[in-house]
Amino acid sequence: MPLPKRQVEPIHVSRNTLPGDMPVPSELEAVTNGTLANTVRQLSSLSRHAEDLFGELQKEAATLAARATSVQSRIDRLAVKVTQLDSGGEEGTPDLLPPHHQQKPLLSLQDMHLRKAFKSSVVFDQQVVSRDTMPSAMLEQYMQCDKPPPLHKLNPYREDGKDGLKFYTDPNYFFDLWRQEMLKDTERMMHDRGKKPHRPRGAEGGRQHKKRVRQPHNTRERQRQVAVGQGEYLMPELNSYRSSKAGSYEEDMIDQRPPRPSSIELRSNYTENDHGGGMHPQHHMLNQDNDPYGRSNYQPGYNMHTAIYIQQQQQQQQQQQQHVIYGRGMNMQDPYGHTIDNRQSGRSNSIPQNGPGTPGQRPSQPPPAPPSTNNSESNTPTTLSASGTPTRGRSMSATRDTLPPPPPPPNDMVTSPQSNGSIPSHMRSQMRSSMSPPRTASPHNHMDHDYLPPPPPAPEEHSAPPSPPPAPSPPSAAVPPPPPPPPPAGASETGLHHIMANGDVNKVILKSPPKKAPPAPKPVDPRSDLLKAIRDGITLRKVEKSEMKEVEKSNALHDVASILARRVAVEFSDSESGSDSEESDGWEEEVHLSLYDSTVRRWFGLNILNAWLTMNVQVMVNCCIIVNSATICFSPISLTIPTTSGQTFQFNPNLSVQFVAPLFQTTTSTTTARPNRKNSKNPNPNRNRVDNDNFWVRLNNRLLVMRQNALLNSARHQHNIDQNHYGACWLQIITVKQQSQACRD
Amino acid sequence: MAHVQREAIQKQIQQDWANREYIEVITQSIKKISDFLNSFDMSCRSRLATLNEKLTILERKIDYLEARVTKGDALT
Repeated sequence: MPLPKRQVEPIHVSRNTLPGDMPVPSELEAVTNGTLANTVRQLSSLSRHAEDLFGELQKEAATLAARATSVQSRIDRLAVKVTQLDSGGEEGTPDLLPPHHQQKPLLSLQDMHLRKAFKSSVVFDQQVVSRDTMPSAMLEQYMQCDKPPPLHKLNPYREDGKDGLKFYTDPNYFFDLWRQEMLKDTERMMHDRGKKPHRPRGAEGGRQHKKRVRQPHNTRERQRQVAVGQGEYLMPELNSYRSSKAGSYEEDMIDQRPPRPSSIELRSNYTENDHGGGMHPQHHMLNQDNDPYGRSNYQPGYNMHTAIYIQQQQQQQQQQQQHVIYGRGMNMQDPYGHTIDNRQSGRSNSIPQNGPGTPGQRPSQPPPAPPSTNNSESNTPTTLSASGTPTRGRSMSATRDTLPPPPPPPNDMVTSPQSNGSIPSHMRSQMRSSMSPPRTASPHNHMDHDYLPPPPPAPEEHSAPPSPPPAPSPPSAAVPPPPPPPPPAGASETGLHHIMANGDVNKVILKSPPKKAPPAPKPVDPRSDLLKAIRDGITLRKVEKSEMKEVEKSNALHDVASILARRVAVEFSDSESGSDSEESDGWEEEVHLSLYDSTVRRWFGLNILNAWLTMNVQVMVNCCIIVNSATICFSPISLTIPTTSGQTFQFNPNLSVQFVAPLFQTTTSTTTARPNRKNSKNPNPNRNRVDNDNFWVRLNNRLLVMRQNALLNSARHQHNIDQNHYGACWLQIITVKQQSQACRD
Repeated sequence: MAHVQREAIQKQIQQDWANREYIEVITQSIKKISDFLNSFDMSCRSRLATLNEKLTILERKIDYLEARVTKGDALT
C-alpha cells in the first residue's frame, strides 16, 4: 500500500459529471463541461502541490545557504588566523621573529603539537522523523489514515497492567529493542575488555569473524532466513509473528530469543500517550474529543506539565499503581526490590553458560518501572530496560503476569530489612526460588515471604557466598550486575531492571550457585559488610566500578545519542581487542517485523526512530531499495554505498537512500586526530575500519544510521545474491549536527 | 427527416470527440507538469543532499582546523 506523498485530486475527472437531478439538454456537453471543470480542479491541486514542493526546496536551499555563508566566514577567519601562526616556533627560535609578529597572540606550531588531542563533540539530532519534521503533504496524507482501534479503552479490564493498544501498534518498540541491544553490547564489550585486558590479538581476529555468516538463534529465525533466501518476501513472516503471539505460549517460552523490550507496558502509555489513559476515566473524558491515539498522543512536544498532570491522576489510583509508578525510589528500600535485585544479578551471572539468547532475558514483570519523571526526549519508556517481546510479555502474562502488581510494602517493613541485613531475605528468596519450578514462582509469592521480618541468622550469612555476586558478571549481561546499590545512586537502576529480573531467574539460580563461589556476596548493605568487603579487595573494587557504571548508565541511557556515543567510546578504547566478533554477534538478531499496519503508523507517528526498508540486494555491492509499503512516504533519498565511492541507485522516483559512510568510520577518521603525535600519521587502528552493520544514511538531508540486519549482511558476505533476493534493513534514524570543537580538558 | 436527425447526432458525437481530445490534451499536459515537478524535485533534492554533504565535511574540517589553530581556552 504505497502512500503517495502528494496526490493530485480529483483523480477521476469524468466520473459523476452528469447531474442526476436535473434534465440536461445535451448530456455529452454536460459531461464535457464537468470533465473540464474537474481538470481545472486538478490543475489547481497540482499548483498547490507545486507550491508546497517549491517551498520545501526553497527552505532547504535557504538553510544550506546559511550554512554555506557561515562556513565561508569561518574559513575567512581561519585564513587570517593561519597567517598569524608563529612559524618560527617550529624551529624553536621564537626570538628571531620580527617584533610585529610577537605582539600578537601567537600560537607556535610546536605548541600545537603538544596540546591535547582534538575531540569532536558531535551533537546528535534526534527524532528527525517525527511529527515536527513531517512535511505538510505527508501530514495531510496521514490525517486521512484510519486510527487504530480504541483498544486502550479496554485497559481497565486488563489484569496484567499492559496497554492493550500496544499489542496492536507500538511506536516505541523498535527503539526499545535497539536500545537494549546497544546497551547490552556495550556492556559486554566493556566487560570483556576488563576481563581480558591482555587478550592477544589472535589470528582469528576480526576478519574471520566478520566474514562469518551468522547463524540464527532459533528455528523460527532459521526458517525465516531460508524462506527469505528463496526469494520470498518478508512480510508473510509478520503473520507468523502475529500468530505466534496469539498462539502457543509454550513455544514462546521455549525458544530462546534475544531480549525484546516489553513495550506493551501500560506505564509507557502514561508517559507518552496523554490521551490513551483508559485507566483514568476522568482524564480520558477530557480529551475524548481529540484523536485518542494517532494524532495527539505522539505529539513530539510532549511537555512536562502533561506528565505531571498524569502523575497526579495516577496518585488517585490504587496503591498498587502508585507503587508501580513511583517505585523507582522505593524499590531501593523495600525487600521486594532487594529480592529482585539479587536474583537478577544471579541471572546475569549465569549468562555465560547460556549465551546471549538465554531464557534469562525474559519478558517483563507487571510492576513497571516508573518513567513518569523521565521526560526523555524520545518519549519512550526508556527508563525501563524491560525485556521480552510483546509476544512474550503476553505469553508470560498467561502464567505470572496476570497477578496484580504488588502493593507497596508497609513503611515499617521498609526499614526492617536494612536493619537486619537483607541478605537473609535475599537468600531465602533464592532458596525458595531454586526449590520451586522455574516457571511457577510468582512475584506475589516472593513478596509474601519477603514481608516477613527477616531473621538474621549467622549461618545464612555465611552461606551467602554461593549467591551470585555482581562482579564477575558475564560479558553478555544485558544488565550490569547491579550490586545492591547504595540508596541514592543505584535506586533508579534497581527500578530499571526491576522488570527484567523476574524472568528465568529461577532457572538461572538453579544452575549458578555451585559454580559461583566468589567471596564477597554482593553485600546488601555495603556499610555493614565493609570489613568483609575490604578483605576481598578485588571484589570490592569491582563492585564500585559497576556502581559507577550504573550511575553513568542511568544517566545516559535515555536517548539515542548518548547510547551511541557511549558505544563509540567503548569501541575506541576497545580497539586492541577483537571486538568485531562480539559486535556482530550483538547485532545478530531476528528482527521482528511488526504488524504491517503498525509499521505504517510508525512511520507516520511521532517516535519514529526506526523503520523498515526492504532492500533488494542485486550484487554484492549494489543495494537498491524497494519501496516497502512503509517507506514510500519518504521523500527522495538516494542510495549509495561507501565502498563504491558514492554510487547512487534510485528505484522509485520517490525513494532512494544514500549511504554516506559507515558509522564508526565517519566518527573516527574525520573528527579525531592526534595532534600531539607529530605529523599525525594517525595510527588509529579504527580509522579504516568498516562497520558492516551500520551506515550513515543521508535522508532528507539528515544523517541517519542505517543498520542492516543479519540477513542482508550475510547475504553480502556470501556473494550469492540474485536480483530477487530480499534482505531487510532497518533504519535507525539519527541525525548529526556537526558541531565539533576542541576538547581541552 | 431521419437523415437530418442522424446528421445532427453525428455532429454531436463528432463535437464530443473533439472535446474529449481537447480534454485529453489538457490532462496529458497536467501529467507532464507533474512529471516534470517530480523529476525536478528529485534532482533538486539530490543536489541539495550532495551539497549538504560537502558542507558537512567542510564544517568538520573547519572545526578541526579551528581547534588546532586556537590557543588556550578560547575556542574562537
